[in-house]
Amino acid sequence: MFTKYRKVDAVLLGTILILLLIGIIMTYSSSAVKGYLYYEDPYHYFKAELIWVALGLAAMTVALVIDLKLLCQWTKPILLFALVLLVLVKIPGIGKTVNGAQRWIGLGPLSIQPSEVIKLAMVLMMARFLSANSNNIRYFFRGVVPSLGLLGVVCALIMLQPDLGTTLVMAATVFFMLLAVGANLWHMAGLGLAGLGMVAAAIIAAPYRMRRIFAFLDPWADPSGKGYQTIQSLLALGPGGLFGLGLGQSRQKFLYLPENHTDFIFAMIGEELGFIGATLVVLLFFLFIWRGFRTAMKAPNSFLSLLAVGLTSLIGIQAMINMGVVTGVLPVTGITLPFLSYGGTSLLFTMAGAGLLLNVTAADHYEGV
Amino acid sequence: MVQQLKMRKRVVLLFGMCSIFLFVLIIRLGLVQLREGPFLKNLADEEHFRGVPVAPKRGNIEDCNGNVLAMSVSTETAYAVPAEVKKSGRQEEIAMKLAQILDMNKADVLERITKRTSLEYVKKKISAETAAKIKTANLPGIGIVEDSSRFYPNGPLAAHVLGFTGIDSQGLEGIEFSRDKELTGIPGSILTEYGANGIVIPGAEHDFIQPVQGNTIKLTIDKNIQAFAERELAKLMAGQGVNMEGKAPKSASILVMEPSTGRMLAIASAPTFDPNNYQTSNPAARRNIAIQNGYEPGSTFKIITLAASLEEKVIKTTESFTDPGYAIVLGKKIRCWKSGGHGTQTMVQVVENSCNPGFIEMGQRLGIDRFYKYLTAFGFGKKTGIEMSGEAKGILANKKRATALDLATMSIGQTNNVTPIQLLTAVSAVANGGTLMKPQLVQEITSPAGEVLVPFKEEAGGRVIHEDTAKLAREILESVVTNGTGRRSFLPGYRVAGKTGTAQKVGNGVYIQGEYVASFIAFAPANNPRLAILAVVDGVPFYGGVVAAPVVQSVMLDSLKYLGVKPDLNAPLAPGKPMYGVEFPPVKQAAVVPSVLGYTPAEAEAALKKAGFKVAIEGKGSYVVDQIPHGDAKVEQGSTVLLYLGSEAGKNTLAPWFEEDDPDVDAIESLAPRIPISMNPVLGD
Repeated sequence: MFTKYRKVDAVLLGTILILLLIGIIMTYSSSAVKGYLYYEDPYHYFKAELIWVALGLAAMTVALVIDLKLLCQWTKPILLFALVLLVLVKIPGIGKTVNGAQRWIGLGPLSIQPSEVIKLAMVLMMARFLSANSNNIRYFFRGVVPSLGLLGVVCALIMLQPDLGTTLVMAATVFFMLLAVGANLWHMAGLGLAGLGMVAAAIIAAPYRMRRIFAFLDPWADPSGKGYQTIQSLLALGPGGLFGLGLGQSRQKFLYLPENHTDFIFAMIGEELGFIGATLVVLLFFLFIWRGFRTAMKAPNSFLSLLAVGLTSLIGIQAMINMGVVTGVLPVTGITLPFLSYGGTSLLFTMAGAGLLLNVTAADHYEGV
Repeated sequence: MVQQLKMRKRVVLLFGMCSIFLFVLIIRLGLVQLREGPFLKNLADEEHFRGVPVAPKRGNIEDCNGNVLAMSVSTETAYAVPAEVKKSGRQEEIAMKLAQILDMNKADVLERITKRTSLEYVKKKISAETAAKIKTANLPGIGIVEDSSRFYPNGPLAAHVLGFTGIDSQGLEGIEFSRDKELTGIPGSILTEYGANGIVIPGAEHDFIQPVQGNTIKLTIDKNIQAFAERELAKLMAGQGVNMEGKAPKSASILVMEPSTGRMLAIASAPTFDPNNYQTSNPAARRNIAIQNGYEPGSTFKIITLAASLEEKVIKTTESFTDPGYAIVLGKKIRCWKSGGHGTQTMVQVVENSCNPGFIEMGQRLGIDRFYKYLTAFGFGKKTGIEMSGEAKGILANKKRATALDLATMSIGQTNNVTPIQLLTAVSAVANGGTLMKPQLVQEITSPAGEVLVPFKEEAGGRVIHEDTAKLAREILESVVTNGTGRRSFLPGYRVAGKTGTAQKVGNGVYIQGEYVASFIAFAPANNPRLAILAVVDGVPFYGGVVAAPVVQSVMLDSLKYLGVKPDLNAPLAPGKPMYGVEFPPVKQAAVVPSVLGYTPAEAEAALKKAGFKVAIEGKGSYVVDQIPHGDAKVEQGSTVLLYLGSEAGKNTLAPWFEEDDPDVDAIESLAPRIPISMNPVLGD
C-alpha cells in the first residue's frame, strides 16, 4: 500500500493542491459580497466551499486507492447507472431546474449533476472499449463509429437538459482519446470537417444563430444582452493590469459580473491578481496537462494510458474552454473552471477524476489489467 | 509495442495542441490586461462611478458697461433620499410634516419622497427660513442642498432681450436661451464607486470634478438707454403719452441702434413682464414684438424709396415736381394727403411734405426691377439675423405678380410687411453712409476670470448705396424734422433726421377705421449719426407725427445727453422754414429762454417778448403747459418760442397738433378698397 503512495506523481498532486488552494481563496473573495447581500453572511459560500473541498478530498482519496482493475470490470454498470441518472434528471419532481436548465438531482441538502457523473463514466467506458479494440481503430466503421454512436447517445441526453458546455467537453475528450489510440488522422479530419459542415448547415438554416454564436467576437454589439457576460468579464480582466487590484479589491464582484464565483472565477483572478496571477493559473493547468499526458505515456497498459489521456483531457479541455470564454476568445458556454470554481458536484467529480489520474501515476508496478 | 509507440506519438501531438492553446491564452491575457487594460479600465470606471452632479454657477448677463442684468443667486432645495425615507418606515409622518412646512399637497410630497430613484427633489427655491425649519425638523432621508436660481436685479428691464430661465436654470427665452450653452458652464460631479445594485462599494474611491462656471455675456444693450425707452413705453401704456389724450395703445416698441456698428443699444417692447416671475405673466406680454411682429410701415418706408431714387439718380434735389393732389395709377386715383395737392415743390419739399404723388413718381421712375433690387439690398423680406428667436421675415409682395399699382403703394410704404428691426436696420444703412449692418446684441463673452473669450465683431452685409447718396438722403431727412412732418421730434441744438409713418390697421381683411400703427424713425446727429431710433405705437387713434415723434424725441434727447454728445452750434435752434442746401446761420448772440410753464398766455407772451423772443402759440387753453425751446435753453437771440396751451397747468391736455389732413392716413384712405397683404404678426420660420 505505502509503496503505491510513494510512487504517486508529487508534481501532479502539488499542482492540484495549489489550484485547489487558489480556488478556496478566490471563491471566498468572489462570493463574500453576494453572501453578505443574499444571506447577510460573507462566509456563506465560503463555508459551503470548505464542505465541498472536504468532500472532494475524500472523493480524491477514494479514487486514489481504488483498485483500477476492479474499476475496469465495473465500467459497464457504472455507465448504466450514470445513464439512468441522466434520464432521471428529466423526470419532473426529481430533476431541479436552475436558470432554465434541468441539470440537478436533489439529494437531501446536496444536489448532484448527473452530467458530471457521466463524464467520468464515459471516460472509463471509452478507455476500456478503445483499449480492447485498438486494432480496429484504424477502420472507420469497426473502430470509430461505435465510439461515436455511444458518444452521440450520451450527448443527445445531455443536450436535453440542455448543457452545451458539457457536451462540447465530452465530445472533445472522446476525440482526443480516439486520436491517442491511433485513429486515422484523415478520419478525424473528416469528422472535424463534418462537424463544421453541420454547424454551417445550422447557420444557413437559421442565420440568427450566427449572431448568437459569434456574439463573443464583438460583445459590444449587444452590451446588455448576448455580449453582457463577455464584456463584464473583460471589464474585470482589463483593470487588473499586470499586478491586479489586490486580493479582495475586485469591483466587478459587486454584482456586475454574474457567476463570478463559479464560471467566471478566472476573471476574478485576473482582476485581483492581475496578468501575473492569471498567467500563473494558466501555467498550473499546463503543468497538470503535461503531468497527465506524461502519466499516459508511462502507463503500463493501453487501458491505463487511455484512462490517463481521457482524465487529463476531460479536466484540461474544460479548463481551456472556461479560460477561453473568460478571455473572450470562445463563446459563453456555461462550464466551470476545474478545481477553482465554487464547489458543487463539479468540484467533487473533478477531484474524483484527479484522484483516478493520480492512481494511474502510481500504477506502473501493475502488470496489466 | 507498435501500438504503444504510436500512442506516445499521438499523446505528444495532443500535448502540443494543448500547449499551443494555452500559449494563445496567455497572449490573449496579455492583450486584454496589458495592452487594452487602460481602455477597459476607463470603461469599467464609467460603469462603476456614479456622480452626484455639482451645478456650475450660471454666468451673468451684463449691459455694455458691465451693469448686471441677470445673475445667479443661491437658493435652497429640499431633497429626499427615498431609500432612507422608506427605511425609517415613517413616510406618512414625514410627508405630512414636509407638506406643512413647504405648503404643498401631502399626496404630492409622499409621491416624491417614496419615488424609486436614488435622489429626488421635493421643492426647489425655498427660502432660508423654510430650509431652517426643515433642518430642525430632522426628518430621516430629507435634506437641504444649496442650489442657484436666476435673479434679474432690474425687474422687467430688457425682459424681452434677456428672456428667462426654467426651474433647472435652463434658458427658455431670449439671450438666456440663445446663449444657454455659454452661460451654463459645465457641471462638475462628485464621483463614487457603486455596485451594480446601487450601493456604494465599501472603501470606494471618490473623485471630485470641479464644475466649470458659466461665462459672462456682455450685451450691446445700454441699461440707461434701455431705461429711457422703457420709461417712454411705460408712459404710453399708462395712458400718459404725449398727445395720447389719456388713451393707451395696444402695444408699442422702441428700438435704438448704433448705425455705424449695428449694435443694439435698446430693444424695448410693451406690454412687458418681470422675468423673475415670468410664470405669472401673460404669455402675450412675453412676445418680443420688435422682432417677431411685422407691420405695414407707412411713410417711414419712404426713406428707402428716397435713397433708391437718389442712388439711381432718377431724381434731382433741385428738380421741381408738381403735385396736382393725386396720382392716377392703372385707373386708380391715389390722392395726396393735402387737398388740392402741394402744388409745385422741389424734390426736397416732396420729402419734407411726405407728398404721396411725389414718392409714387419716384417709384415709377425706378421701375419694379430696380425697386425690388433695393428692397432686397436693404434686407426686407428676410431675417436680419439678430440673435433673438422667432424673428419674422416680413412679407414682400410677389415680384412676378406686382403691378404698377403695387409699385405705387409700395413706394409710399404700403402693401409690404416689415418688422421694426428690419426697418431700423435699413434706415441705419442710410444713416451710416450706405452699409447694411447686421444688428448685434452680444458685445462680448468673457470667462468668469474676466478674460475675453469672444470679442465683438461687427458684420457688414454689404454696401447698399454710395456714401454721397447717403449723405444727401440724411440732409433731406434732417429737413423733414426741421421743416416738415417730423417737427415734433425737433431737438434744439441737435441735428435730427427722421420720418413719420402712419399705417392703418387691418382686421378681417379690411382696414380698420380710426386705428393706426403710428411710428417715427429718426437718427442723430444727422451729419454723423450716433443713434437711430424707431418707435412703433400700435393701436392708437393718432398719427405717427403726433404720438410717436415725441417719444423718439424724448429718448433721443436723453440718450444723446447721456452719451455726452455735445449740441451742435450749427444746428438749428427752432423748427423753421427750409434750410436745405444752405449753411445754417451761426448763432450771433445767445440768449437764455425763460421758463413760462404755468403762465397764462398773456403773461408768457409778455415775459418772452421782454427777453427778446418771438412767440408762437399752439392749442387752446388758459395756461402754458409746454414750450419749445425749454426753459434755460441757450438759443439764438430773437428766435421763436413755441408755446403749447392747455386747460390746466402742468397737464398735457393741449389739443393734438393735427394737420387738417395727415399725409399718411389720407393716402391710405384713398386706397381703402385695396387690401394689403397682412398686418397680422408674421412668425419667422
